[in-house]
Amino acid sequence: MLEIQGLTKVYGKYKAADGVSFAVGNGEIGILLGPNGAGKSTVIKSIAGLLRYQGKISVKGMDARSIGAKKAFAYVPELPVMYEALTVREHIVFIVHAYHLKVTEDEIQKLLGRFELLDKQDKLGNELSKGMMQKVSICCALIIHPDVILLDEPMVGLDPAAIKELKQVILELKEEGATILISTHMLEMVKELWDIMFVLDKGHVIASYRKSDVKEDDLEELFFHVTDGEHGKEEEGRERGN
Amino acid sequence: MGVKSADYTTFLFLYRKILKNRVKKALHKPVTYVYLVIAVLYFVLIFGSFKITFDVMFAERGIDSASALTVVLTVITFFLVPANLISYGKRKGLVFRQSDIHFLFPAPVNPKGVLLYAHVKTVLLGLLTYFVLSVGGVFWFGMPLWKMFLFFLISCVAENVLEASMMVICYGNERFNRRQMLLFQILIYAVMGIFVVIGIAVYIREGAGLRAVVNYLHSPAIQMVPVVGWFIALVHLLFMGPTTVNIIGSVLYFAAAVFFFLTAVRMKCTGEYYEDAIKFAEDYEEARQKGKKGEVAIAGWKKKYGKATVSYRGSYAKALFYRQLLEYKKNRFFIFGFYTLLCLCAGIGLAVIGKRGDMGEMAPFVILGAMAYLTFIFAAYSGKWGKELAKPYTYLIPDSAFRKLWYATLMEHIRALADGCLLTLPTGIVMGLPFLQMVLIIMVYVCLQACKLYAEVMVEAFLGNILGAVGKQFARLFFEGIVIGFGILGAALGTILFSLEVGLVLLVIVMAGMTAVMMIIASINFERMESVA
Repeated sequence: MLEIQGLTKVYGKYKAADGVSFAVGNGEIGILLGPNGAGKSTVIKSIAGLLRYQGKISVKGMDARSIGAKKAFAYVPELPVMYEALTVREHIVFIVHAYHLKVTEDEIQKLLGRFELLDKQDKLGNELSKGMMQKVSICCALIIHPDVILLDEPMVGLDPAAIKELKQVILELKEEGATILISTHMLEMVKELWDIMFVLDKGHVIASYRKSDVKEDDLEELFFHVTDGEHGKEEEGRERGN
Repeated sequence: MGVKSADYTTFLFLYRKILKNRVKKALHKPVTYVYLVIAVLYFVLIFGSFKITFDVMFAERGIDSASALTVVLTVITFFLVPANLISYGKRKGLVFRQSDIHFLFPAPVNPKGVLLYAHVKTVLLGLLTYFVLSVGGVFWFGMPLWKMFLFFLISCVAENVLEASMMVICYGNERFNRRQMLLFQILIYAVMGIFVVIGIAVYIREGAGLRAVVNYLHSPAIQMVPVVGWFIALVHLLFMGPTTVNIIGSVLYFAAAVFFFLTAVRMKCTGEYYEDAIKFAEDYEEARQKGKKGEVAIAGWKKKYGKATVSYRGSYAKALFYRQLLEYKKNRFFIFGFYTLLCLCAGIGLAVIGKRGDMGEMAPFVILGAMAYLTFIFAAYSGKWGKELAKPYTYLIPDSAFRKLWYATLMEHIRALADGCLLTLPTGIVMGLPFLQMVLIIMVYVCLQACKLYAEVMVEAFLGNILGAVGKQFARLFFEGIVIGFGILGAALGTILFSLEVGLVLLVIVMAGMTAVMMIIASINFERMESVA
């Protein structure tokens, strides 16, 4: 369970997130949508514990900043950055140490195999392409067997086979009862995955939908319905002002 | 500090693997062995020369070795400790990499441990410095081995415990808000200000000179300044013998170390500092990348641009020049920067020396010498041409590589012309040099800078993938040296056989010719988006 209550983040005079509240339950896939500058990155970085914020974020009922919450939480950032002098395999082993996991060699090999990294496991971080880095980043998140996983634009840079594999992995995690939150602009890629969707604009959650409630509606249609409406109102206001 | 042993295993794993892989990779490069030999030779030379330097500075002026060593250690303490404390106060001293942010910050490790992980990088440099000083204490100053060992132990253990604790308190505390942290920064500056006040007092009382500096560094007032001064008191106690002040200072130093350590251990830290650390890591990375390209970069300093327009008077590669002109026009000081200021100061300085009558007939040669010195001493400034190489559209412009190189670097020649004028004209006018001589000297400077520029472009093209930054600098200096060497030969012949003007003309012709050849070779850089090597 991932719960965000009244999340507010201010940069100087600018409110990047203003009282954002939403929750994604166990075994659910939440999608965080919003136009550029909506505040998605701020919300994501706050959940990952990278920013100071006001409000409450809890992972499995624990404060997101607590060690217990962090043990259950995995994060795939939008732009993966590797340790230049660590190999692919050493990145995974590092995560095993950092999260104090009991993982067998077989599990590591299996995971690397799923993302076609077996022959790349001895490559150093600075020898990887962007897509490879993304795959390593995903593997590092998956090796944790997280209860809550946050994926920020996870499909960017991945080849079609990896996208297919990632979707499969996400569904498996859901089956296992994990909470998944995906932030993306690639609506096409997540339309068969989502259970609950949150639309963010100007630091606010302007809409949220459950798939079970809007069976007939397409994700894309819903998104544009909400955001066009918002921008339409804005245009209208501007015209009136003129 | 409340950090679990599992966390230390994690950090140790990171250090071990990173170090092992880096060493393994470096050992595969032949250039590493060259650097190693140079580094060892340099170290041996420097280490040996210090003995002579200290003898000249202290022993010959009747300052005994214990006093001299204490002076040296006090000066080094001034360099190392206050700067660290100020940067910790600003939450800017620790360098995290982007990979730390990705993998380490969200991990379930104690945020205090993450701070210590980053701090170790700083500690290692400090340890090395104190180790060299401890060995140096025996060899340079003839101190007993046990004293230097004790100093090393104290500087390694107590000093690092104290500094690390203060770092954890500054970064990790979540009780004080930004305003309170600002007050803390001011307090640190105020404490450092006491050293300045004491310095002024000593200067007023005793005037300038080595003896006054020694007295200042030994003054009891300095040993009473909190933390930094207390460490200096401890150094005095160890090498100069006990006094009331240094005993009290030393006791306070150890008490402070224990107090700060306990405070750091008890303090709650959930990782709120990550936000500041991320900001600094981003700024630092940006500055590092700029620095790699030879640009002047300070972490956290953002360049401000104004509004400007430019009318493009040409097409194809010429557009590169006009785009650069537009960018420079948006700069606050147009094409001028720190180096321009330096040239102006050097020019005025030379003019003042010339006015005093210390130059005489040698004025043109003094100016040329200053120009050569500045050209050699300052690393090649990549300017905007380096950025052109990183942009794919540069290669897509339908024009020849040579024209692209010329227009991408044209502005650098204009800058060199301006700098050359600033270096030459003040002295030239004051000393009444003939107009032609001044023009020729300025042209020599433009050629010098062009030679430096194209030597760098050429090295970048052919050795860019093989050599590191230092290696490339040596290679550049080598090619520059050849061109300048031939130029000087021509200039000497012209001056001896005819006149200084002919010598300067020959210098310009030889340098311009050879630089043009380098330019043609270097233009390959603009053919495709990769180095030849």
